[in-house]
Amino acid sequence: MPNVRLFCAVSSVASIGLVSGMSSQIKNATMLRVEHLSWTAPSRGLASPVKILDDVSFKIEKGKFVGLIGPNGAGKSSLMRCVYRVTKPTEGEVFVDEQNVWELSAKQSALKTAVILQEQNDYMGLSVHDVIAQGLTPHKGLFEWNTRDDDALIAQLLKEMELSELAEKPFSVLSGGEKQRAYLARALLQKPQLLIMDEPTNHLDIHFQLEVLRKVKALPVTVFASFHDLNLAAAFCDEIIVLNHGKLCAQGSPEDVLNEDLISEVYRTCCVVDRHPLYDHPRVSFAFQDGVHRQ
Amino acid sequence: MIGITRTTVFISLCVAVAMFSLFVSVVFGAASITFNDVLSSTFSLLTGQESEISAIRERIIWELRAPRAVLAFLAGAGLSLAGAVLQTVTRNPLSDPYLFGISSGASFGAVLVIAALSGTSVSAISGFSEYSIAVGAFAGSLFSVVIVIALAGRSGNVERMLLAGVATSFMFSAATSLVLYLSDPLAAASLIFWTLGSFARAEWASIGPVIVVLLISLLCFFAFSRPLKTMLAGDENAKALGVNVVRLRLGMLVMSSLMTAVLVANCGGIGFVGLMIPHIVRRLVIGLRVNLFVAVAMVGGIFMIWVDVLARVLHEGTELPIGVITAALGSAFFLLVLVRRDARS
Repeated sequence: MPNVRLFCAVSSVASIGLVSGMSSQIKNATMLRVEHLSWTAPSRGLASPVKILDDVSFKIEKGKFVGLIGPNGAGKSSLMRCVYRVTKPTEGEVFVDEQNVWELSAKQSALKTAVILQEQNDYMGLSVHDVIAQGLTPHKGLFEWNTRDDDALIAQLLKEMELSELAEKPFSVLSGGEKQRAYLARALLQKPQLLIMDEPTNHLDIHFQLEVLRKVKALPVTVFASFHDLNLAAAFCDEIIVLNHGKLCAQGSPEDVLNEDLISEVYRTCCVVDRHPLYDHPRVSFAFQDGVHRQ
Repeated sequence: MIGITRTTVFISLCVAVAMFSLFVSVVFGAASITFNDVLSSTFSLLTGQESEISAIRERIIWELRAPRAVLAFLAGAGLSLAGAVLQTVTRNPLSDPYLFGISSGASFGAVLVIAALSGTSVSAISGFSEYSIAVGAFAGSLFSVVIVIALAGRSGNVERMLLAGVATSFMFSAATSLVLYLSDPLAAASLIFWTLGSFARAEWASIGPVIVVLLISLLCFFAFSRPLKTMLAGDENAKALGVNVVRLRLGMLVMSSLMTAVLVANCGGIGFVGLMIPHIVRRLVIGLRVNLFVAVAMVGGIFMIWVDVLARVLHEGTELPIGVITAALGSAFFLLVLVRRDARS
């Protein structure tokens, strides 16, 4: 499987030198290491502090596509925020490429990790080109403008993401799918080793969901993405991490993790897990009516 | 390639219109001066030859109207720039320097000085005290900025910052009203004239510091224009893109406040420019490879030169306050935007 991915990547973005450290991705090394991570949300007003993440530890190997699943409020977004260095954990450490992210500056961290969030933002009159060019921010100092190579790279990314025609249009006029592709282009321009995506397929129809995930899957970067749709997670992830009540309750291949007992317990919903008729990965079907139980 | 040509056209047009406006605006005013007078006077100044026009006209051009046009350009550029920067760092299209209490702080400083001087003699208010009023206004606006930043805290949270600005603004307005209520009518009239803004007091000596402050600020905004643009992605994205959001936001607030304080001290309170010009320029430059801040400064400067011309010609015999014209044009502009938006939907 990794070979297929690398092959696809060579034919696309990697061929123009977008993704750094490609050769090092092939080695079996650790990209992300989270150790005994806990985070307590500070109290707001009358609400008392709440422990959102509780002693979470896991590792992600370089080059893997790892999914994060769990019910609402399980702490998925909080965990990701700790990894991309926006939330400082109360306890524990996060290492990206064997470096503690809190020993890095925001800029140094941004050179390693790129993020695609679920967002509703109109970017106040910026063009699509401007938004994608934001990906160069960690690579540039003060008074450092885009070089010809940068412009070529942006043009290439616009083409890859089928946004060339829209480059000079206001970002706010794009459709959901186009916006998501623009975010992906911005994240790639950052030349990250680790790409974090918080529910990348939210608000997208099934065509764009698959399109975005296929594009990401073809990249030679390590991906850590949260999912609500378990079948998408099963189809695209090499590994799945399950979070419930702020605790890590499973990590492994989709085959190992996506079983009826675990899903029923974590999501409090009955389901049947069988094989996908086309690709043979696990397929989850939920019981929609009360009182329906597994035979 | 098309983008680059359009960009060049836009920049050349801005520079040309700015030069043209500076020259032509000198023609308008109570004393009649022709465009030829301006040209021949400039020519004689550049070549060192004896001028053909009278010494009086020469003095009107170079000591009254030219510094006035330059100050108008600088004030328009600076206020628009401050508006553009504050709108960017707060991601709020309604932000402008006055929302952060800078203007009401300046008014408070000015009113204190006027009230203190009103006990002395009437002539003092028009003479030496103009300088004191400027100093008072500058001190007042700096004080308000310190309060806003202290209230906003180190969190750099946008909502907190805006609320702190609004609170400070109202606090100073209340204090100003109280002092005015307690002071004599002459002082009140003097303050009202001051708050409406005017370039009539422009002179070369006071323009020097304004140019220096403005150039330093522009250079600073220019240097940080990439992270500033990235701030529009939202705090969380901007952080993930390597921007130190809190530090940049506070730094830019301090820079734009300083710049506004210097301008307010020199020209009084001129509202709406910082709000309106960035809106227009954002629409103009979309798709162009031109720095937003440079474009905003140019367009704002040109706009203000012509507002000052309007102030001089609209009502024969007297000068209208600048703030009245900018507020009238500003509200008309926003109404137009509203109507067009309604028509589109």
